[in-house]
This record gives sequence, C-alpha cells and structure tokens, in this order.
Amino acid sequence: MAKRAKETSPAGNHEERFLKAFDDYADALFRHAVIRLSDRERAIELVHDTFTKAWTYVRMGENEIESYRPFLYKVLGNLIIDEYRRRKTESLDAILENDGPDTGKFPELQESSLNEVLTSLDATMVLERITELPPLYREMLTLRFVDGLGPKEIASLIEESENVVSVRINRGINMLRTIVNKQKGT
Amino acid sequence: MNLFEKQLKKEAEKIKLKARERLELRDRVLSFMQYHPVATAAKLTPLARPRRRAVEAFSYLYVRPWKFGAAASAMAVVMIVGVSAAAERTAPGDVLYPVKVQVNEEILSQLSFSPYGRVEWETRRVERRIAEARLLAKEGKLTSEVEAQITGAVKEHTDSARRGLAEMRQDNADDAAVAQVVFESALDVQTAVLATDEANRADDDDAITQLATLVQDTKDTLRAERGTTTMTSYERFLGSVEESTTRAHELFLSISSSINDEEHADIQRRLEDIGRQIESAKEQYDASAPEEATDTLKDALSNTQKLIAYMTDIDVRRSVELESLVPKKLTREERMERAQASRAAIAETLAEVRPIIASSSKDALIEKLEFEIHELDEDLEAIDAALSSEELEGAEKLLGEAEELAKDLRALFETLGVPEKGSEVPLEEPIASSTVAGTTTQEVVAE
Repeated sequence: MAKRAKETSPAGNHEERFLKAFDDYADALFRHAVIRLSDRERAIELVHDTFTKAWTYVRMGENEIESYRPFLYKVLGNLIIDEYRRRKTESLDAILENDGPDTGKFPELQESSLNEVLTSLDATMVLERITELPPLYREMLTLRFVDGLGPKEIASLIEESENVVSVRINRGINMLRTIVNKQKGT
Repeated sequence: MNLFEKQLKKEAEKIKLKARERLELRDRVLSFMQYHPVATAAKLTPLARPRRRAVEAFSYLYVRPWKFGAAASAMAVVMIVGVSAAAERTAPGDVLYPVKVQVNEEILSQLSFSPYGRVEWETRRVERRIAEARLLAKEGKLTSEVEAQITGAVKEHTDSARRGLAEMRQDNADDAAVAQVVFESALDVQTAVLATDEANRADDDDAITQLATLVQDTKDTLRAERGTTTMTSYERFLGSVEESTTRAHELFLSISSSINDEEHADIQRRLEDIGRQIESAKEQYDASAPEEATDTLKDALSNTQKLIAYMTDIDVRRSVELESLVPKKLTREERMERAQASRAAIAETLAEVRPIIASSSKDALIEKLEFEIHELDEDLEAIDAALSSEELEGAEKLLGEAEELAKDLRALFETLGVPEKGSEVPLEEPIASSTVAGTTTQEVVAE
C-alpha cells in the first residue's frame, strides 16, 4: 500500500495543537483562576482571554510555542495580576515588601518538617481556606498543590529563584495552618 | 506525591467548568480563531524558482505566482474591510445598508457570546436604529415603508435584549440586574432625545412619536418584568458603578479641551454628585441598610451611564439638556438654602395678602382665605421647627405642601380681583378740592 503523504497545512497544525491545548488545560486554568480570584464568572472570562491572547501570539507565526502549559499559565498569571490591580486590592508591591528575606537556608524548610505540617491539615478545609490567603501565597500554594507544579517549574513561571518559591510556599502553608487551626478553635 | 497532596488534588479537581460552560467557552475561542486566522501567507513554503525565460527582454513582466496570489488576497481583504467600513455610515435606503445590518451587525451579534454581551449589543442596535430614524426624519426621507422597517427592527432588538435579560436572571440575578439598569438608562436617553424631536417639530411626526411610544412601552414592560426580584448584590453594583465612573472620568478628561466652560462645569458637577451618591450608599450599607444602599447604587449607575452617553454621543449632547437627562442632585447645604428661600417666599406672600384680607369685608371667600392663611402660619411654624433641628427631609415635605397652599391662596386672590404680586393697590378717588377752577362759591354751597 502506498504511503499517503501528510497533507496537513502549517495553519491546520497550529489550530489542532491549540485546540488540543484547550481541551487539555481549560479546566486546570479555570480551577487556578477560581481559587485565586474567588469569582467563577470572572475566572471563565480570564480563561477565555488567556486562550485568545495565546492564539493572537500563535497566529502571527513568528514564534512556535513548544509547550503550551507553562505559556498558558504565564498568560493567565499576568491577567490575574491585572485583575487584582483593577480591583485595587492589596498592593502586590506591599505584599512583596513584607515578604521578608528570601535567601539562605531555613531549618523549617526541610522537607520532612514541611510534610509534617501538611499531613496535619485536612485537604477539604485547606481548599476552602486557601482563598483567604494574601494573593502572593495563594498563587504559590495553588500552583504547587492544585496545579501540581514543582518549585523549579514555578520559579521559571514567575521568574524568581527556587529558593524564593520554596520560602513563599512554606510561609503560605504556615499561614494556612494558622487559619485552619483558628477555625478549629485550637 | 504525598497523601496530603493527593487528597488536595482530588478535592481541587471538583472545581471545573460545567459541560455547558466548557462548550460555550470552546465555541467562543473557536470563533475568535476563525475570525483571526493564522497569517499563513508569510509562512507558505516558497515555490521553486521559475525557470529563466528564454527571452530575457520580457522578464521584467514576469510576476511570481505566489506574490500575485498574496496580492489578490490582500486586495480582497481590503475591499471587504472597505465595504464593511463604508456600510457603517449608511441609513435605510442606502445601497450598503443591508451590509451594515445583515452582515456587520450579525457578525458582531455572533461574537457576543455572553448573555451580558448580547444585551449590551442589542442596546447598541436600538440606539443605531433610532439615530437612523431621526436622521431620515430630519432630512424628510422617512417614508412609511422605512418607518415600518425601523420600528420593526427596534422592536426586534428590544425583544432580543429582554430575552437576554430573562436568560441572565435564571443564571445570575446580579448580572441581570446590572444589565437591566444599563439597558433602561440607554432607553431613558433615547426617550429624552425623541421627546426633544417631538417638541421641535411643527408638524405631527407620527414616526418619531411611534418610536417614542415603543421605547416607553419597552421601559414599562422591563419594569414590570423586573417584578419582585430577590435582593441583588450590593458588592456587584458597587463594582459596576466604580468601573463606570472610572470610564466616565477618563472620558471627561479626554473631552475637557473640546467643550465650553458651561458644559465642563455641568459635567463636573454631575460626576461630583455621583461620587456623593456612592459615598451615601456606602454609609447606608454600613448602617445595615443594604437594600437602600443597593437602590442608591442603581441610581448612581443609571446616572453614570446616561452621563457617558451624553459625553460620547454628540447628537445626544446637541439634542438634550444635561439637566433633563441627569438632574443635579443638591447637596445638603444647597437643599437647606433652597428650603429657606422657599420659606421666605411663602412668608412674603403672607405679608402681602394679610393687610388686604384684614381690610376686606367678610364673606365666604374671605373666610376661606383667612382659613388658608391660618394653615400657612401653622405650616411655617412647623417648617421653622424642622429647619432649626435640621430635619431637612421633614422640612422639605412640609414646604412642598405649604407651596401648594400658597399657590392656591394666590389663585383665590385673582378671583377677588386682588392685583398680582408687585403691582400697586389702587387708591380711592380723591375728594373734590375747593381750588377747582371755575367753581363759584354759590355752586359749592349748593353741593
């Protein structure tokens, strides 16, 4: 049997890949946006904007997107920051200023102690309370535990060092533990 | 992944798009992709270079096929865009009008996937149809066929917007409430514009009157459909109002240099009034009156939308006084001043009529007048008490009633033949003088 040559045009390839990315990541992006914004309708709009911006980038044909996942998360992350600014909530710069020193090793960041904290928390309660965290830590914990990205991937996404990411994750968890324990009355 | 992470991931995966949401979102993205296709012309695989022509003298006439194809495509795009753009400025009866309504507007309709977007777009279409009707009426070209066409289109767009609102109410009552305020505000602007047209026409312009009636009927139907809705979110309205006022301020800045001082002062005053309304709403909310707060915000949103229409539509600005569209909201100090001026005017009326009544002979009419004066005296006492204890709302209510009574008093005077305010009371005829010329002593004695 003669081999049939592949006839898909370059444009067709772009569309196929793009739509596949939609099918693969729309839910995850939506979940990320809902947890960070606590607004379902707004989350849908931002996911829509993420894909339309990504398509605008693709259709110019100048750059190929090797991996859609980090690209889409990056676009969505920027849209969420714009949303925070539009809502005029707590200044992100102010949050960063209060972040404290983020270099060097901290004993409490050791993997084993982190696991200890995590296993003491109830996952359902955590998901409910994560929306009460300040935007910076909410972002970190969502990327880490909801989106399943590792510190290295997160660092690449937000253009910070792995150390900074680890510190923020840890602080986020501690803050979460305080919120959850307060609710339990402990 | 440890146990916690697995559990959290499992819980988080419950947060996802509903099937309908996902489908709608995919459709929207797909439409966007179709409307913005990949720019493939630049990425086509270059064709093999053509063989050199045997006769080189004519080689400059040779056009590479792929360049010709790209040029033809580009020209087709330019023509389509050009025709589409030209169609935007047409009115019923023009050759390209069908392109405007059936192509341009329909494409934009399809792109409005969210119900809110649909309501917004149908509102714009209503405004466009009314503007077309007014333009044609002004030029004397509004035939009965065109009038029927436009009236039918306005009805269609308003019905479509109402359906969009009904759909929104089922899914998101808050969004529906905001969309309804925006739609009603747009209709209020059109009502004001059409009313000015009706007033300015010497002849009976049935078409404009019909449109005005249609718009008013739509507003009445909307209010009836709103019915007893559940409490809408104060926060949702606050967000919408803040977004709208930001836009209004930006628009004001952009037009500041092109409007006169009076317009500048008028618009600035309205923006300040809206700012005060928002503050008032926040105070009401803090005082545990969320329903009043939301109503205040609805009014603020409506005023902002109308102000934006005034600033962005030069036709509206030319046709309608801002005061009729967005009346000035007096500050507490201004209201106090107005109340005191009104009180002074009533007191002045009483000061004028009292001596006249006192010197007139008693009859039924005079008794009625005395009764009304007595009532007004009592009203003024109550008004003074309210003003001194700063119960402004109470004072205003009493003043309203007192003003009506004073007006009635003045009207009764006219039946008495008492002159209008400001005219002199006629003096009695002077007694004949003994210095009158030509009168003899005997004639005087005889009298």
